[in-house]
Amino acid sequence: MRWQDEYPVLDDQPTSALLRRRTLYNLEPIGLGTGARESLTSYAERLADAHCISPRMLADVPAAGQIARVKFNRGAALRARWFVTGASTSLEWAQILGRLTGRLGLEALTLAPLAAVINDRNLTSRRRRWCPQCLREAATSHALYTQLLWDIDCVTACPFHDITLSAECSCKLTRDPRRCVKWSPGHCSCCGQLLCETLPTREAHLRQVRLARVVQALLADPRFDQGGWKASNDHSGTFLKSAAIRHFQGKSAQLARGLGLSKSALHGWMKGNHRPALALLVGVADRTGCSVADILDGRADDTHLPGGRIVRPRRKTSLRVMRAQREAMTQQLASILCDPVPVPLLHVARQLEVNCDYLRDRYPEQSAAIVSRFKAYQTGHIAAKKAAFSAALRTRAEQLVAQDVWPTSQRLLSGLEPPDRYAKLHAEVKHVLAETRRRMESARSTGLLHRTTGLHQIALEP
Amino acid sequence: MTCTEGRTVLTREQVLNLSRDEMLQYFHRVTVQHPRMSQALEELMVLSAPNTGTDLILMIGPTGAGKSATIGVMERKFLDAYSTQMQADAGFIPIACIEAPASGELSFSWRILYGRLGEALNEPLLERKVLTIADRQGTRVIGCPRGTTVAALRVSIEKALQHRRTRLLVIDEAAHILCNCGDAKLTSHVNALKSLANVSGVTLALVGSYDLYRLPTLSGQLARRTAIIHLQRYRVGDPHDEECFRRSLRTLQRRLPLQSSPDLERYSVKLQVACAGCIGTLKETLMRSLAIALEKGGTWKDDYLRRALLSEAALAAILEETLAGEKMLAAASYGDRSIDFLQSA
Repeated sequence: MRWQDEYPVLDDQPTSALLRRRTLYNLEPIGLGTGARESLTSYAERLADAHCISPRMLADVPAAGQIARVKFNRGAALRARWFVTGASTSLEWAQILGRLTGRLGLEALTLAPLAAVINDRNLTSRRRRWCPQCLREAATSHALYTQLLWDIDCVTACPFHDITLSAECSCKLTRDPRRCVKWSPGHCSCCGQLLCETLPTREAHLRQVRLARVVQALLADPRFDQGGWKASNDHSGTFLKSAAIRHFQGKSAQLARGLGLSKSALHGWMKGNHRPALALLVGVADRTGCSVADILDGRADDTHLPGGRIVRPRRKTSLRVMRAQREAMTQQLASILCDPVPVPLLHVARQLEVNCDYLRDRYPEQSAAIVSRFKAYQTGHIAAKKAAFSAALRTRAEQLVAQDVWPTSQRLLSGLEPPDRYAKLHAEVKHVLAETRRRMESARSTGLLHRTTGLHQIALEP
Repeated sequence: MTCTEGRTVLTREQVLNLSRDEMLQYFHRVTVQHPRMSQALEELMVLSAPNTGTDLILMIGPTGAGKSATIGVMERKFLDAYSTQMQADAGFIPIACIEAPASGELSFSWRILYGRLGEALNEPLLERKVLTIADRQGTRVIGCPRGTTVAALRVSIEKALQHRRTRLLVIDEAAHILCNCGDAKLTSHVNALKSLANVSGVTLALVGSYDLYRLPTLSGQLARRTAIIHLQRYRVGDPHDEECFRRSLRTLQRRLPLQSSPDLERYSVKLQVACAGCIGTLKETLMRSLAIALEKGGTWKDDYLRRALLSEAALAAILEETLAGEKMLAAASYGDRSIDFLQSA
């Protein structure tokens, strides 16, 4: 309360809601809504650069540390492979950075909008690549950044400048131990020089540019910024059926041949059982002259007859493994071989962050041992499960005989959990069924007399 | 208790039900917006507006005149003025207030100052800032890979001021920057502050005692870009000043968390003399009296006021410093230029 004969007084509590500010700057992502949109990797790098810290330190920002399991790997900070895939790690990081900066919709800087409709296998490239011309333009116009497009594996050329994306700086990625190079967007992480000045410029093949333009159009789609495509909105099956009707009289086998796919792969895709790889979608869009969005929306009206096969070359770049990782790998493989529980080679490769081919090439003996151990374990395990199932089956048959219930395969299998597909168990079930029925028939032939005389229980005793 | 715009205001009954410490805390929080403070606030708002050509504002006044309280009110006014923008952009910090450190070292510690500034700007990982420099080949390298340097802190603060779009940066007790400084060192200190204001586009307000007047006299360029706000005391003998002081006293005595408010207006002139005409000193005296009263059971006696007054030696030291400062600042403050100058031209 204030009297007329006094001065104004401030005696309230200080404002607290307004004093709670975001920890990181509210930087605006570059190129949103266009095909040249920034990647989340680049956004995190720019954010770290603005705060004068290295990108891997972003994980040490107090609020970010809440999710310890998505911390940056040592020496592999901001690896494009998992940072932009749209999988859980990249989504969690988009949410963390969104919370720390107050900037919504950072998921649009990853491939998360496509996650529900495409397969994430081989989605992003293993090595970071850049277009020197785009970097030069970015350096002159606004802040240096790297595009999401360059992180996609099936994109090998710049759709704007018709040149190939380069992964190698002129320093050949050799690090100078005397200098501590700052990791910042648009600069080589090894020599620290501006990449637009050191990357080679090579003209791209027409097909490479065509494919890159298909992906660029996909990234520029307005739905990419509006949450993306949901699995329920995926009408690619409809597209394939329409394309088969339109160009191959409804014969999906011919369509599969035209698209360079196996019949089963096409069938799985049409039924929605498989999610296609982005490279395949882009290839189909290129061959049929439509966009990826048309395929996902099921619009096959403007397509033309696909000609030739979709060429999906195997990845040629060799896996880069650091020396320290290689040294640790030998010990880890030895410990895995000593472990009483055998694991498949794929699990081992994932655990060591390499692939199976790498292990087979570099560690053939250990790989062979891992494979044979797991096979032996698997064979023994399955045999044991089958024996247990067989015993359970026979017990169940005895129960049916005891209850005087005519045995059928359905009655035999009710309440039992088959260890394998029924086709593989059919012979065993059939054998037990025949044996039980034979016993039942012989028992019934004398059982009628026993029932009438009240000696039923005695007759069923073994 | 009423809540307005995220603030909590206590009623008289609620204040009287508080504990002893909470009562003292409540009275400590009470800020009277007396005319001298309102005038200083108005001038500060005008001079901190962008593109006024003023990079450096010096708020100078005698000790206990209410400089820090003025800054507190200024901060609230800024937060109120920019609340809509702050809600829209959660990274926007329009005003940052810090206190210049007196670290105990002989020279001024810029590391601590930048550290405090970083905390005020909500800057993370201050201990892990790395400075990026370009070498002769244009390579971006880290200047010193181990630990934060003052240079790295400085660059991060510059960037923080730009990204947070800070309008006013207030450094209280700025006289600590001048301690143990010759003219050369002082010039480099002031240049560092001026450059910070230039690079980040922020208006810098230094708050302190009359020692700060050394700054604009260092160079003509600095004098041109500096404005002085003099927060003066209320003089005894001036009827208007005496009335203002009395009214401030009345305002404060009504906020004393006691069952019956004492009548202190009859001692107004004597208190004005005893507090050197400074409202801050008056409030501190009342705080001490209140502490005694609460200790003695919550009833007021005028004797408590007598016990809480400043000693004569302390008062003499304050007056001596104030009179010297007032003499030095005569006709140097913002708005002191006479209208006769324009008329004669």
